[in-house]
Amino acid sequence: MAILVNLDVMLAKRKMQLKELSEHTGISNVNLSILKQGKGKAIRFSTLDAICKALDCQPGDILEWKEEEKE
Amino acid sequence: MKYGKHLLAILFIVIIGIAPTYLLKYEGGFNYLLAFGLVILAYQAVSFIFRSNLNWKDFYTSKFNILTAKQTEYLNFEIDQETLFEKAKEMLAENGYKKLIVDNDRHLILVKEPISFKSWGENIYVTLIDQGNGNSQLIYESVAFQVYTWGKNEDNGKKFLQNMEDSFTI
Repeated sequence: MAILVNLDVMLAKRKMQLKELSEHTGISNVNLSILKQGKGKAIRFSTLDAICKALDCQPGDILEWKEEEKE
Repeated sequence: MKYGKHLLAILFIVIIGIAPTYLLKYEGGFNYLLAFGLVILAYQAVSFIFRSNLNWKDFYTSKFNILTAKQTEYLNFEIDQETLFEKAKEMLAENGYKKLIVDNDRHLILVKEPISFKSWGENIYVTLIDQGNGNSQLIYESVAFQVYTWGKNEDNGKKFLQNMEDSFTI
C-alpha cells in the first residue's frame, strides 16, 4: 500500500509500548496492532486524534505516503 | 424464493402436526409416536449435555446430522492468524456474545446461545485458518438445534461477518 503507518517508529521515539498506548487512547490492543501492521482499511479522525494526543505528535508523523514500486 | 422455502416448511410442520392424530387411530400408533418423541427428546438431551464441548463440533456441523440447521460462511483476511483470532474474540464480544469457549491451540471459538422460548439454542463456531504469507481465513459455522430456521440465524451470521469486515476501519 502507498500509505505507510509509522506507529512503531513513533512508539519507539516516545519509548511507549502498544499496551500503554491502548490504555491512553482507549483503542484496543488488537486494533492498534492491526494499524501498526498497516492492515487497517481506513482510519477514523477520532482514532488519529487520540493517537496524536497520546504520542504528542502530528498525523504526518504517523502516516506517510510513498510511491509504490513498479515491478 | 426465500418465502417459498418458508411456506414449504410451514406445510411440512402442519403435516407433522396432523400426522399424530391419524397415527393414534391405529393400534400401536401411540407406541410409534412415543418412540419418535423419545428419540427427539434424547437427541435434545444429548445436545444439551455435549454442546459446550468443542470436540463435538464435527458431529453437529456434519452434513449427515439432519437434526440441526447449519450455515457456513467463509471470509478471507490479509492478516495473520493470531491477530485475527484476537480480533474475532473482540468482535464476538462486541456483537453481544458473552459466553465464549475458546481453544487457543486450534484457534477455535464457540459461542453458545442458550435455549429460549423462541429457539432450541444455537452453537456458533468461529475457526481461524492460517493460509500462509500473513493471510488467514475465518470460517463461521452456525448450528441451530432445530431442523429448520426462519432466517434469523443466517441474518445474525451475515451481520457478524459484515461487522468483522467493517471493524478494519479503525
